[in-house]
Amino acid sequence: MTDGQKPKILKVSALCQLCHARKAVMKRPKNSQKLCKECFYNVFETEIHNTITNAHLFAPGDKVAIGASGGKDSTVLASILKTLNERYNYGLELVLLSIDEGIKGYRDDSLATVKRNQVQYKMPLEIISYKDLYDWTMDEIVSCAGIRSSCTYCGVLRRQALDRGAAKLGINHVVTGHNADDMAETVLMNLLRGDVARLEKSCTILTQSSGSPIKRSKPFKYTYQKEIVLYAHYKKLDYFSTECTYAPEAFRGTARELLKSLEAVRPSCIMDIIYSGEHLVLAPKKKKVTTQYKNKKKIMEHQDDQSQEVEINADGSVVLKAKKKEELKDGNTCEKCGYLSSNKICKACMLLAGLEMNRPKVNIDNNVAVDGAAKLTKTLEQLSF
Amino acid sequence: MSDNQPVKYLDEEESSSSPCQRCKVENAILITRKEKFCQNCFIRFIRGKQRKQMQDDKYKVKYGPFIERHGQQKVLLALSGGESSVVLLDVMASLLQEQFEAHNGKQGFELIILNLDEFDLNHLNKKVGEILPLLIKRYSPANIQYKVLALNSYILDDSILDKIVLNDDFTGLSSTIIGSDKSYTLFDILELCPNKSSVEDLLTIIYNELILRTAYLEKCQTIIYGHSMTRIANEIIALTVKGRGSIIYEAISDHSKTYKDQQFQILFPLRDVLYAEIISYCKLTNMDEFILQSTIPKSKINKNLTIRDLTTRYFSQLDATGYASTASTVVKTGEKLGAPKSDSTSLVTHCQVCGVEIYQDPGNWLRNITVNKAAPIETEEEKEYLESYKASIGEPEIIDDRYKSVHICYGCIVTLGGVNSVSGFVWPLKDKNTDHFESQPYLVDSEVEKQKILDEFILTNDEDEDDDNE
Repeated sequence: MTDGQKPKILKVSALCQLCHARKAVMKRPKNSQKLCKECFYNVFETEIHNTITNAHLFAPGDKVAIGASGGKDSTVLASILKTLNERYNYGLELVLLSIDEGIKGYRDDSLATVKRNQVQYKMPLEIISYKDLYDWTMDEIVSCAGIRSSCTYCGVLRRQALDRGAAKLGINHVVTGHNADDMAETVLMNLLRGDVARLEKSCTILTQSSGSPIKRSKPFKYTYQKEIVLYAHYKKLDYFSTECTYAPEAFRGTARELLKSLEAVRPSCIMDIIYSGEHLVLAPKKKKVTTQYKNKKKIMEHQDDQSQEVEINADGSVVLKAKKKEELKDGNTCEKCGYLSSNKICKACMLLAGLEMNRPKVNIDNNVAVDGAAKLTKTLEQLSF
Repeated sequence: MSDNQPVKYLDEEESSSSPCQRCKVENAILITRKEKFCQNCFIRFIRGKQRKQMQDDKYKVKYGPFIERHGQQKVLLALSGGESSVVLLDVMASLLQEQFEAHNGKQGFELIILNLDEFDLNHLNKKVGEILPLLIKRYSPANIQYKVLALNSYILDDSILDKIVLNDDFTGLSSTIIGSDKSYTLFDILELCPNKSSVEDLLTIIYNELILRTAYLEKCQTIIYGHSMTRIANEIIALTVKGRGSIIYEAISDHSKTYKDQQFQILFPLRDVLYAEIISYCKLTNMDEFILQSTIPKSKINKNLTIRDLTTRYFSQLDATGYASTASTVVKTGEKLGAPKSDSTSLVTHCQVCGVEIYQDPGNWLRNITVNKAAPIETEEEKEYLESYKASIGEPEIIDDRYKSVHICYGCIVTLGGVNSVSGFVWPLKDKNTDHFESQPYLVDSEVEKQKILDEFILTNDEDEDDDNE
C-alpha cells in the first residue's frame, strides 16, 4: 500500500492480534480484536463457511437464488457465496433474484445496483415486480392504506414474491441476507410482542414447510451487520445504502434502539441473544382444568348448539371445519392463489382483497402524487369536485 | 406524556365527581387498569394480588389435624429495600396482623426478612439495620423477624476459591489458589470483573446462593421475592440479552428448588402488579421514607450503564409512551417457556460457576462462529514481525496438571470474557464441598437483639434456666 515510502517499523502492539505479523487496521465489532485486513477476511469468510457446512445448507449441484436487494447485506452475500463456492467447491449454481416493490426513489435506484452486480459477479438476474404479480406497487398501497402498515403489506407480499420468483426459475432454495442483528432483533421482538408461535423457530437457519417446495436460509445468521459493512468497505463492493423511504413501525424502532445501546455496552450481546433464542422452547401445553361451579346445566344444554357454530371469514366465506387439526397447520394452500397458507385464504390475498375495496375509483390523469407521497394523495382523495 | 402512564392520579375536581368503582362510597383518587379506585380499595386490590398467589392452606392459620399436616411454616422474604420488596413486606405483614387479630394471636406462618447488605456496594442513603426496626414496628403485634447478612459471607473461607482462566477457544481451566498468600474478599473478586455488567451478573448468582443458604439454615420452606410484573418482564429480556435464555422458564416462574436435599418453594407474589402500581401503593401507605436508595446517580452515558440498567430504562420508556402492556405480554410469553431439549449426544452438565444446566456445548457453538485463526503469513517482512512479537512476549505460561478443566455455561463465558488473563478470575466453584457450614453470622439479627435486651434486663431468680448458649 505504501510501497513508495520507506516503511516505518511497527511496534509489536500495533500488530494484528491473530497473525502478529501485519499491521492491525481495524477493531473487530464482534469481540474488539484488533485485526489486519487479511485476518479479518479470513475469519469473516471462515465463519460463514462454518455456518453453511454445519447446517448442511447446500448440496453439490444445487441451484440457489440469492434474494438481492442491492443493499449491503445481499451484495456481500452474493460476493461471498461466489467466493466460497469457488474456494470450497460447493458446486452451486447461483442466481440473483430481485423484487421490485415499486417504491420510486428507492427501489429503482437499488435495482440499478443489482444490475451492476449481475455483471460484476457474472450471475443471471431475475426481477419480479409487485405490479406484475399483484397489480399494485408499494407506492399505490401506501397511498391507499396509509404509511403505518406499509411494512406489513410489503413483508407479506415480498415473501410470496420471492417464492414465486424462485419457482419461475425452477429453483427450490432462496438465500437471504438476514444478519445476526436482524436475528437478535427478531428474538427480542417475538418476546416483546408475545409471538409465541414464532418464538421457537425464530432462530432456525433453514426454514422449510411441507406445502412449499421452496427452502429459505440465512447464511449470515451469525454475521454482525457492522462486519458486513466493513467487509463491503474493504472489498470495495458496489452497494446501495439508502434506507427504505417508508420507515419501520414505531414499536420495532424501540427494540432496535435498545439493541443498539446494549451492543455499545457489550458487543457480544447480539450473539448472546441468538444463543438465548436458540434455547427458547415452549413448555408442553398444560390442559386447563376449570371446574364449573355454576350454571352446569345451562352449559350442557348449550353444547349442542356450539357444535353447529361456524366461523365466518372477513370476506364472508365460511370456514370449513378441518377433520384433522394438523391439516391446517402445514401444507394447506390458499383457495384464491394456491400459495401455501395456514388459513383458507392466504395472508397476501386477504390484504389485497382489503386494498381492492379501497382502491380509488377515479384516477386523476397524470397523477404524480401517488409516487410515494402518501399524505398528499390522501388530501387529494378527500377533495370534492 | 402523563396520560400514557399506567397509573393516572385524579385531580381534586375529577376526584370529587367520580366515585370509586369498587366501594362506590369514597371518591376515587386514581385510575389503573381502566378502573377508578379510592385509596383503601386500591390498597386492598394490591393486597388481593398477593393473597391470590399464596392461597395455599399452609399459609393460613391452622387448627387441629392441619397443624400436623403442614407443620410450622416459615417464609423468607428477600428484602432489597427497594419499593417492590418494601411493598411486599407491607402486604405480608398486614396479612399476619389480620391473622393475629382474627385468631387470637395465632399466625399462619413465621415471616423472616432477609436483607443482603448493599450499603457499601451501592452507597445507600440509609442503613437497613436502622430502617428495619421502625418498619416492623408498624405491624405490631405481629411477630416478624429480620436478619441482615454481609455480602462477603458468600465466601465461606479461602479454601473454596479457585483461579479460573478462560482460554481463547472458550474452554475454562481452574487451579487452586491455596499456597498463594493473597486472600480474597468478595469485593476483591468483583474488582477482577471486566465490566459493570459482569459484576451485576455475578451478584445475581451470589444473591441467589445467599438467599437459598439462609432459607436452608433458618429452615424456611418458602422464599418470596417482591418482583413486580414489570421487573419480571425486565428479567426475561435481561436474561435473553445475557445469553441465559435457557433458564428463563425457571427463573421467572413460581417454582420449587432443591438445595442441599431440601425443597424450597420460590414465589413472586406481586407478579400481577405493575411497577407503577407498586410506586402508588408505596406513596399511599406512606412508606417512601423506608425506601433505600443508592446515592450514586445513574450515568447519562449509555456506555457506563449495565445491561439491566438499559432494559429497566427501556421498560420505563415503554410505560411513558403508552406501550405499558408490553410488560404483561412479555411475562405471559415467558411463562409459556419450558426446559430446553438437550442434545441427545451429550449429557446435561452443570456450570461450575453459576450452577445452571448446560444443554449444548457453548464452547463449540462459539468456536464455529468466532474463528481465531490467522490468515497465512507470506512475506519476509511479516515473518520478521512475527519473530519480534514472539520475542517480546517471552515464554508462554505452561498449562500443567495444576490446571483442571471446568464446565462453564454460555452466560458465564460471556460474563468472564475479557477478564485479564494474568490476574485471572477467582471464584468458589460449585462442586466444592461446602457442606461444612452450619450457621452464618448476621450483621443484624432481630432475635439476637431481643435476646441481648432480655439477657441484660431480666432478673432471673433461677440460675438453672439461664442456659442460653452464646
